[in-house]
Amino acid sequence: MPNVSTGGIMAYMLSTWRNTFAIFWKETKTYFTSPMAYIIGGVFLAITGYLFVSSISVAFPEASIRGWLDPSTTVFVLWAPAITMRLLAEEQKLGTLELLMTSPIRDYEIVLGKFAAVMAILLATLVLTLFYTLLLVLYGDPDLGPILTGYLGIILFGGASLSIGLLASSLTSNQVVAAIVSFGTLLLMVLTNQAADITSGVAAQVLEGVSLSGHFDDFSRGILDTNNVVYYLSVMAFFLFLTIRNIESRRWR
Amino acid sequence: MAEQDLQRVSLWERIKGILSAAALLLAIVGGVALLGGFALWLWADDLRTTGTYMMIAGAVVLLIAAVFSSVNIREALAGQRGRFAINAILMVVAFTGIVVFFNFISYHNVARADLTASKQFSLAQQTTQVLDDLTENVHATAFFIPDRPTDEANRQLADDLMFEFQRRSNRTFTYEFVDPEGDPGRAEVYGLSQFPSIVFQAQDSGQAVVLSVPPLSEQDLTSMLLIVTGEQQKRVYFVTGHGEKDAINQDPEDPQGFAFAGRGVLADSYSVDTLNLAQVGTIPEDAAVLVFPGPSRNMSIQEFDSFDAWLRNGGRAIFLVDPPVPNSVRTLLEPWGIALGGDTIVDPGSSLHQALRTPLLQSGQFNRQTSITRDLDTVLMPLSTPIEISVEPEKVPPWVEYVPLARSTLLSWKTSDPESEDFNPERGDTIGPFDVGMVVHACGIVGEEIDTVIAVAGRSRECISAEGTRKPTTIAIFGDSDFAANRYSPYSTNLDFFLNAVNYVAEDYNLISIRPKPFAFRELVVTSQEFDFIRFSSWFLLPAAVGLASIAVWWRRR
Repeated sequence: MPNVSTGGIMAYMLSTWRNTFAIFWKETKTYFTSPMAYIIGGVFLAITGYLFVSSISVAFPEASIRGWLDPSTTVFVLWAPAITMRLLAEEQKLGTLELLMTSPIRDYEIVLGKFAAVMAILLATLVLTLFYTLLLVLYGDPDLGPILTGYLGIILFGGASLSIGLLASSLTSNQVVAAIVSFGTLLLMVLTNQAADITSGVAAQVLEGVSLSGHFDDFSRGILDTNNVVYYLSVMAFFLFLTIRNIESRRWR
Repeated sequence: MAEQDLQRVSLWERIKGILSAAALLLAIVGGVALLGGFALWLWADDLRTTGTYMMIAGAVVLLIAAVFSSVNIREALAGQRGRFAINAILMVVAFTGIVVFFNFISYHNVARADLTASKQFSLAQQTTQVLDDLTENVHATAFFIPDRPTDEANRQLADDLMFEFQRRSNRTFTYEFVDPEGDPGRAEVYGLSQFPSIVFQAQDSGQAVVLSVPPLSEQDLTSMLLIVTGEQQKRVYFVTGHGEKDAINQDPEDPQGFAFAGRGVLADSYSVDTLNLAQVGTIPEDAAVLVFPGPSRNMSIQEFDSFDAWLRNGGRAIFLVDPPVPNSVRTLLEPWGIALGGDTIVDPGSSLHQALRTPLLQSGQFNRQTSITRDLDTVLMPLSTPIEISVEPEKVPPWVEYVPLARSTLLSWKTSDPESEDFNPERGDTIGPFDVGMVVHACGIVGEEIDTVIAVAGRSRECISAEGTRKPTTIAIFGDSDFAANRYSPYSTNLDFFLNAVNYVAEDYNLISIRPKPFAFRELVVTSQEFDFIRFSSWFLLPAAVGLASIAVWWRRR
């Protein structure tokens, strides 16, 4: 029976925080001291920059970020696998995952630490896209409500995509295979929204309910809906849980 | 006998052996049948029975596979790995259940906040009241052909609005989208041939009404709900027979027609009809409001007497008059203290570009104290005539109240010259401002002596006398009819000006609150240099900065 006193809980939480942060810090440093994060981030910014300019190159352009925000959900289908594919696959290939698992670090601390690291990359990249908003504020009068919800939506969408990528990375020691698996899963979860449009009744509702992109529309229009927030948080929790269980299974497989 | 038993056992053993060997294959076949059947059951309504049989067959095959590989399964489960695997599966199933449960709860208990500046996706108070009062289940079937670019915006709007209606009504109102090409039978049930259309059907009474899209607004959906649930509709009559504009002509291309105005009145839950008094002889008893859309000819004495008596008896009417106003209309309104003539307003202070005779009413020119004009933005009133009160302000009797709606600017003047745009006092031109819209509430005509006073009662008026209280006569007069005609009504809040007046005169003040919200299009207006800066900085600045950082990192690590 573990120590369940307040002090015990505090010590447990402190050690969890310390271990998770250690993993997060190590991963973040790895990303930022290698060119990979910059290249992937640069490509993302080049695509969003192109989309942003395209959206305002029309006859009566609207001072809005929807022009790059809406298609960026499709960009994430490629971006998330690229950023997550090495996270656990490389550890498995190099054999360092066994080292981690035999160290006094819990499985969920490994997963949460790595997830936090890729979320940090995502946030850092999205912070740079605020440049587009700055341009709109300088030269126009954008509605800030949809911009705010749009960013919240893209963070949640990105988080959900990264959690799927993390699971794929835990399934194999081959980074390419991990990328393909997460790409396929993301594509499927994005396309279910289109499938919902060609069906009706319960099936349409179910497909729309599980679709990653279907829950994003409200955010980009300026609506904050608790159902959408719960959905993305659920997807993140579900895939992170599966990742933890998958890593744990290495102990008895 | 013993040999036969031996043979039977041997056969059974042989079958068992085959089934055990093929257990994996059977499991795969059973699994595929189960999933395929489920997919059919879920997606193909016509093949649901087949899907059910497939699921049953799949489950049976799976069971056979499980029975004949029971030894292997038992061995796998009995071991340490098996126990861990079962534990892991149970945890995943439990966690999945929790996630599904949370999503189910959140789906049925949605909280939505509209963060757009103009609250584009928030419902008006009147709509929420209608939805709260909805007792009969109503189902809307929206027939939209998918992937038709012209319908995309309306489909999105319909989805947004109906989703909000469904949520607010706690699913007393529900909706679905149907592809009429993919499922033509559904459209045929309602005899639909034009798409997109939305059919509203009351579940108990079975009554159905069809709304053609576009246009589409919150107001349309609210009206359809009221109609389909049998709400008593007030009737608005557009008077004809004296050169009035045609409200029943549904051709929006006719610049003089009142198609948009007629549809707007319909969308406000009224029923609309025309009234040619020379034909029918009497004003119908169910007339809530009479609208005179630009009469250009005099009415007969019999008609005059009928309209005059109707107004004196507490009638409610809207006059949209153009100069020169026919004598009979002028005479009809004279007893109520309204003077109309043949003059036109010229307004250099605020008018359409190079058209000084088309006053452009802007924010400061409206009376913000009345709901008719409180939320109006701009209104164009081409060739309008001034509406003047023939009674001096201090002599206005206590049973009459004048509510001015909008005025021309201080720089305006009225002239009898139909062409000139120059001010000429010798011709009789007079400096403004002039009222171009006015509402008269009166318990009696100006000249008579009655012991009655008019008083404000909530948002309406009441005549109070020794005999008790009654409703006064209410007349709205506009110095122009073109502003509500097809040519000008789409401009800014022109149509709202007219529809608000109908709602006000009919005392349906709440309807004014569900006018389609002005869509604040925030256009990005930039010079070519500014656009170049935005373009090149967005294309190159950020990727280049990140690229340079990448090179710096590589250089340091090198």
